[in-house]
Amino acid sequence: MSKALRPLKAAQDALAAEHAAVFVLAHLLGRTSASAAPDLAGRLRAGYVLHRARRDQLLRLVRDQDAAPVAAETLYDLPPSDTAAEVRSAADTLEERCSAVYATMVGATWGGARQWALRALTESAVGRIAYGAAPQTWPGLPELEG
Amino acid sequence: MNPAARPTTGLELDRRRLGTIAALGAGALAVSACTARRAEEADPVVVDDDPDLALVAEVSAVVGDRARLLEETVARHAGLGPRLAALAGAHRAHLAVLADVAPPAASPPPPAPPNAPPPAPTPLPARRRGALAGVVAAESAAADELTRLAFRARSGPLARLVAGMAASTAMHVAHLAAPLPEEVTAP
Repeated sequence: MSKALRPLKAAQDALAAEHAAVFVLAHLLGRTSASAAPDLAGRLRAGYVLHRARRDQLLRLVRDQDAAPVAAETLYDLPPSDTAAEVRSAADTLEERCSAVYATMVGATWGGARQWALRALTESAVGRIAYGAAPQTWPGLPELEG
Repeated sequence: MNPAARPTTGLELDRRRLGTIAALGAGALAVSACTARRAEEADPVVVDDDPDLALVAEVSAVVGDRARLLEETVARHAGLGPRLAALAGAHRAHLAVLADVAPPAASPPPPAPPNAPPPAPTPLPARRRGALAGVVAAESAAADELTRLAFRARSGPLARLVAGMAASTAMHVAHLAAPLPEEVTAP
C-alpha cells in the first residue's frame, strides 16, 4: 500500500479542519462583544466568512472527485474564551493548525489545487498577525519551527 | 486532480503524519492538544532532479537578495536593527535549510553573462521610514515570488518547504507593515 498522501485525502483533511474552524469561530464570535472589542469582533467575523467560503470550496473540490465529503462533527471541543486574550489565543491556534493542514495540502497536490492551498496557507499564516502572533520562520511546518 | 498530469512524485508522507492530520480534522482544531510533530517525523526533502535543483537555486537567490538588502539597510539605519532582527533570523534559517536540501555546489546559480559588471549597490532611502518601506516592498515581492516557485516545484515536500518560506515572508510583511504603537500615537 502506498504511503503517499493523495490529493483527495489532503482535501478531505483540509475540509475536516475547516468544519472545525467554522464551528469554533462562530463560538468565538458569539463570545466577543462588538462594542467592547470591535477590532477583534471584526477580525473574527472576517475569519468566519473566509473559513466558511473555504469549507464550501473544499466541499465542491471533493465532490468533483466523485467522493463523499467528510462530514462535520456533531460537537467540537471548545477552547477557553472568557476573555479577549483567550479568544485571540484560540483564534491564533486555529489559524496555526489550519496553516499546517494547508502546507500539507500544498505538498500533496499540484496545479489549481496547489495554488488554492498556497493561498489558504498564506491567508491563515498572515491572519495570525492580527490576533497578536509574532511572525514565524516556518508557518505550517511545525517540525522545523523551533 | 489527475495523477497522470503530475510531472513527478515526491509526495511520500508517513503514516504518523496521516494520523496527525486526521486528529486535526476530527475536532481537535482549537483545543489544547499539541499537534507539533517531532523532527524525526518530518518528511525528508529530497531534491534529486534537475528542475528542482534549479528551483532551489532560484529560491536561494530570492532569499539571498533579500538578506543582502536587509544587511545594507541595517548598516545604513542601525535603528532599524531590532525591528528587522526576526526577519534577518528567518532569512538565515531559510538559507541554512536550503543549503541542507541542495548544497550550493549541487545547484549552481545561473552563469553571469561574460564581462558583466558587478552588481551595483542597492540605493537606499536616506530616511528610516523610507528604508523600512523599501524592505517591506521587497519582502512582499519576495513572498509572491516564493509562492510562484512553490507552485512550480515538482517534489511535494519541496513545494511544502518553499510554501512555508513564502508564508513566513508574508507574515513578516504583515507584521512590519503594521504601525508601532508609538507611530500610531505620534502626531
